[in-house]
Amino acid sequence: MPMVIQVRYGKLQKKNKKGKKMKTENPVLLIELDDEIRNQQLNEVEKWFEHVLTAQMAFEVVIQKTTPKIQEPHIKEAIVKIEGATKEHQKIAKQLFQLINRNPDIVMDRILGTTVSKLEEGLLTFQDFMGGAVGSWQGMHQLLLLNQQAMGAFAVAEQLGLSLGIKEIVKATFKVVHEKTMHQLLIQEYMLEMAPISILYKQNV
Amino acid sequence: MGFADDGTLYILEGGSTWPTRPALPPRILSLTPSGELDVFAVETLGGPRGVTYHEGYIYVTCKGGYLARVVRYDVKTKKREVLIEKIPSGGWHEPGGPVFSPKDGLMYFANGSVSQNGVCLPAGFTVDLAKHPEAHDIPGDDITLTGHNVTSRNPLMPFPFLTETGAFKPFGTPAKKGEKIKGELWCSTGLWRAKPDGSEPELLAWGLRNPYGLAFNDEGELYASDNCLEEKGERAIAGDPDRIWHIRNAMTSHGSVKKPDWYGFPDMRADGVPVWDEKCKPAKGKAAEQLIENPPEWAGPPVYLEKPHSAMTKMDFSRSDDFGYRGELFVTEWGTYAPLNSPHEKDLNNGFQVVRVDVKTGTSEVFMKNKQLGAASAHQSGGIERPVDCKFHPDGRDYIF
Repeated sequence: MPMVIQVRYGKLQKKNKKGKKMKTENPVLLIELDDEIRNQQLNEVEKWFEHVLTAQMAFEVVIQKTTPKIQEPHIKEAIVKIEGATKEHQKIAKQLFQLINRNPDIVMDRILGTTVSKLEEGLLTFQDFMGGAVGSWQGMHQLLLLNQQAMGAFAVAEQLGLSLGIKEIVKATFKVVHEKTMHQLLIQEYMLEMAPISILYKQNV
Repeated sequence: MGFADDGTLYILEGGSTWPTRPALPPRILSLTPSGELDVFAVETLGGPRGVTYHEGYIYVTCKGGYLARVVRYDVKTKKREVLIEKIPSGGWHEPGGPVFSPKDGLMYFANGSVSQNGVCLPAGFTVDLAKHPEAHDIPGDDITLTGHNVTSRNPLMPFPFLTETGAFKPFGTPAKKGEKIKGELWCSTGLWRAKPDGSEPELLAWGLRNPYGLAFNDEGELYASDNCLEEKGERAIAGDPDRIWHIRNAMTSHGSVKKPDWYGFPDMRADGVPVWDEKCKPAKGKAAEQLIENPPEWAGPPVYLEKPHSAMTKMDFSRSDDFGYRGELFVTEWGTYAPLNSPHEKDLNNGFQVVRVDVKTGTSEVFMKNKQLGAASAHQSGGIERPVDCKFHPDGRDYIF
């Protein structure tokens, strides 16, 4: 059930029967903005922000492993630039906690530990499906999925900012989603360039 | 919002608009005169846009997927009935109403255009192209197309392919010169009336771009708010005013309308200027060409013209000598999207206010606005943001928005 709270009194000008303006007071009602419901919602949002940070860190771990393996200089340059942007994205992911008055530091170690173990488990399984491929572009294929996941996580955070009316969240996440959208196009394009050379000629690009 | 006779206020919230986010639960809330608030019902897809009470039911128009709908709920049992679910939707604009005529007791409701400016294009459609690729406008009367198509990129393709789209066609489907399109009862840009159970629907008007607000005065005259064409994209049109139309067919008897009135969409500005005229040439975007070869007779002019992009939304007539302004139409103005829909600095603060309109003289006065024009959040000044609805209490004395 929604909560209603009466927060203040507004003033409305009306006319009396003689046509003279008089001031009356009317209650202003706000729906679902009391502290209890707001805190419940912020707790749920905090959980999602942990997921945002996890998805972002998973992407970072894999891009750090992938970049040194790429040999083609133009592709390497592009991926290094994307890697450079991840530092800013992680910073924004941490700032999200502060925007709802929570502290990301207390969950960082847990997130990093979970990320690394789950990644190794997941990516080993994923590599079993990469039939006939050799070389570093497999890392690019993984980055494609992980960037998509991080992008989606930030995009959901943006929606939560809109839903809660916290425009600082929207402002911070929109920028990241936009950059990750461009990164997604880049990663996909370069992955597509590398794939046939790797699959048909078994070259490590 | 809508009041029941006992003073219970029904409030619509959530759902999604455009872009379709943030999506929130599309709920119908009830607020009793004693202050008890409850969730009366939860709708689906897009969500509720208009609500009114009539003889034991609340009637609600809802935006849909491909189809907009009119539903009603028994106030006592909360039993839901879908009365109508044949209104072409899946695009840009919204259902209007429902309202009940004080003259004939019939239900009047409307729905806006699928496309933004007459042709389904990426500039005004984006995510909807993927969600509703087959959505398109449908005329309310038989028309012949000029065959003018609009060239745009196709954002659904992996490469920048260009594509051609015609009026009254899905995105990427061109029209041919002389092609005839049959008018349909369930058109886009239409305004209908029906019996309260949804039976015997009748199309009164079409060519209404976004007839979001409907209101009857005491004499049974029906008025509709309507928003302007946009100055952007591949069919850009400058200077189209927002407007309030008098729906003259609402004064006829049920079943007597042989040919619905045409109010100008997509080829006529609200001031009667064809959109391909030099006056409509956009500062940004590609100028418009004529789409309908044999345009019907125009049902204009409107009773009131407002600044472009003011985004007039819901409205209600004052019926109280105690409150004052009896017979004047109170209209909320949601406010502009500029600079997204207009390249002109003068349009940046249009709307964001409540005006009272004298529909007899076509004049208006501002009833409520911020000290600093525009939305309160833009200036951190406090005040109103984007007013979307206003209603008078059944006793006529109190006004809410």
